[in-house]
Amino acid sequence: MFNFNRNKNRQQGHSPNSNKLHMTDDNSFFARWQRQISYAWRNVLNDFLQHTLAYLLTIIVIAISITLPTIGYLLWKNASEAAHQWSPSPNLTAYLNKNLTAEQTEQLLVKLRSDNEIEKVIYLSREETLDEFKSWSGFSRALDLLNDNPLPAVAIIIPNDATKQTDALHTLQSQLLKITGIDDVRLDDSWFTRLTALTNMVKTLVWTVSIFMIIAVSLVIGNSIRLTIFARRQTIAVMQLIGATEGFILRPFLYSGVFISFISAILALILSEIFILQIDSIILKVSSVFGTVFTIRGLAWDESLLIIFLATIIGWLSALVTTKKYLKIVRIA
Amino acid sequence: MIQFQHVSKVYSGGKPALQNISFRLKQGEMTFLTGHSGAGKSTLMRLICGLERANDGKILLNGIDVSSLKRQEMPFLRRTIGMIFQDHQLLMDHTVFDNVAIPLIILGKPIEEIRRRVSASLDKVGLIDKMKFYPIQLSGGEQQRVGIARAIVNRPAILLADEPTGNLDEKLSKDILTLFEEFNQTGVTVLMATHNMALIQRKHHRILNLNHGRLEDDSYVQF
Repeated sequence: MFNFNRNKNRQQGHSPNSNKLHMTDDNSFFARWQRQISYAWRNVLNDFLQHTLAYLLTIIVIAISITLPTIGYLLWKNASEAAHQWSPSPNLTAYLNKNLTAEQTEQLLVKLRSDNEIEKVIYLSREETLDEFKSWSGFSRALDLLNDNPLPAVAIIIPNDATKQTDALHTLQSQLLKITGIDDVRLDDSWFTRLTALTNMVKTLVWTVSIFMIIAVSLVIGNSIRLTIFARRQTIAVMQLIGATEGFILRPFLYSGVFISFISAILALILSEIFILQIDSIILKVSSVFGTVFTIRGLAWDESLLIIFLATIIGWLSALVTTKKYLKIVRIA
Repeated sequence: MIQFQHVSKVYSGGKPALQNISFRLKQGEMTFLTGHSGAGKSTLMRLICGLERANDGKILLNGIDVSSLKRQEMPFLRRTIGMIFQDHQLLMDHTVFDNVAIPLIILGKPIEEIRRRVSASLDKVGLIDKMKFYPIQLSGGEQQRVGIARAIVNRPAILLADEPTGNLDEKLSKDILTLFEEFNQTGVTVLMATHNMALIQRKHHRILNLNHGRLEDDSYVQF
C-alpha cells in the first residue's frame, strides 16, 4: 500500500506547478479512510501506554461490573439445571374410601390407569399403608392400641410429563376428587413449586443486577472518556480550527471506549472462570456428601462471545453519547 | 477570492461588532487589516473561516457563500484556508513535527508524504533543525513560526493571520512579515490583521482600516 502511494507522490513532486492552489487529493477514499482509522487506533494505544495505570483501574472496575451479573447468570443456569435433574417428580396421592370392597377398588384402579394424563398408579392397601406408617413414624406402639386400622388405602398417581405443571396438576386434582370412592387428593408438589420459585427468583435477581451493571459500565466508560476529552480539550479545539471533521475528532474516543470495554469483557470472563474453578471443588465436596455427582458448568463459547459483544457495544454507545454531548458544548462555531 | 457584501455581525446581547462591511480581495493580493483593539478585526477573520456566522450580508470565498454552508461542511472550508493565530494554538504535548503534521493527518495523507511536506514547510520557516522539540522549548517567535508552518503545510490558497506579531519584538515581527510576503509572491492571498502601524509602513500593500466595526479606509498607504 505504501509503495503505491510513494509512487503517486513522486508523480506529484515532478509537476509542482500542476495545481498548487487547488490541492486535489490523489489518494483513494478508502486508503485515506484506512489511514485515518489506523491513526485513531495508534492514538488510543499511545494514550493507553501513557496512562496505563488509569486505564487499568477503569478496566478493572468495568471487568468487576461485568463479572457480577455473569456469575449470577452462571448460578441461575446451574441451579435451574440441577432443579430439572433432581427434583422428585410431582405426584398426587389419592386417599380411597375405607368402605370400598376389593372389587370396587380394583375397578377404580383400572379406571385411573386408563386415564391418559396418568403415567402410573401405585396402589398401597390399608395394611401396606399401616406397615409403612409404622416403619416411618415412631407411633407403632400407639397404633397397636387401636382396634381398627385408621389408615385408608392409598393410590399414588404419577402424572405424565405433559401434566407435570402446576396448573395441569391442579386440574387433575379437582378431576380426581369428583370420582366416587376417592375421599381426598393431596398434591405433593411443594418441592417442585419451591424449586421453580427459587430459580425464578435467581433469574429476576440476575436480570436486575445485570441492568444495574449495564448502567454502571456505561457510566464508568462515559466518565473515563469525559476525563480524556477534558484533558484533550485544547487538542480538540485546535483540530476543529484546522478543519477536522466531527468524525475525525470522535473516532479516537469511540475506539478507546470499544478498547476499554473489550479488554474488560475478556478480563471479566477470566474472573468468572476463576470463580467457577473455585466453586467447583466446593460443589464436588457437597455433592459427594449427598452421594451424587454434579459438575458446575462454566460459560459456553457462544455465551462468552455474546458477553464480549454486548460489552463492546455498550462501550461504543456510551463513548458516542458522551463525546457527542461534550463536542456540542465545546463547538467553537 | 474573498468578497464581503454588506456584512454585519452582532454578538448576542452586545453591541454590533461589524456593520455593513463590503470589500473584495483579489487572488494573490496581500492586504493588511488594521484598527484599534475591539474594532472587529478578529471577528472579520472568524467570519471568513466560518468560526462565526454573519447576521446579515454575504461572504463569498471562491464564489461560495460561507454563511450558507452547513455545519458539517465547515471543516472542508477550513482546510482551504491557512489560519495563524496570535496565541499560535499549538499542541503543547506534541512535538513541532506533529503539530505541523496535523492538517495532513486530518486529510489522511500517507506517512511518507507527511514527512516530506512537513520538512519542506519547516524548512521554509527556518525550523527544520527543531523538528523534535516541544513548543514549550521554543521562543515566542519560533512558536509563531511553527504556527505558520502548520498553516502553509497544506498549501492553502488563502492565508489568514490574526495579529501574528502581537507578542513579538520589532525584529521578529519584520521577519514574519517578510515570510508572509514570500508566500504572497508564490500566489497566496494573504490577509493579515495587525495594529502595529510602524510595521507596515513603507509597504506597498492594501490596508483595510476598521473603526468601531465600520470600514473607514481602504487604501494603498505609503508613508
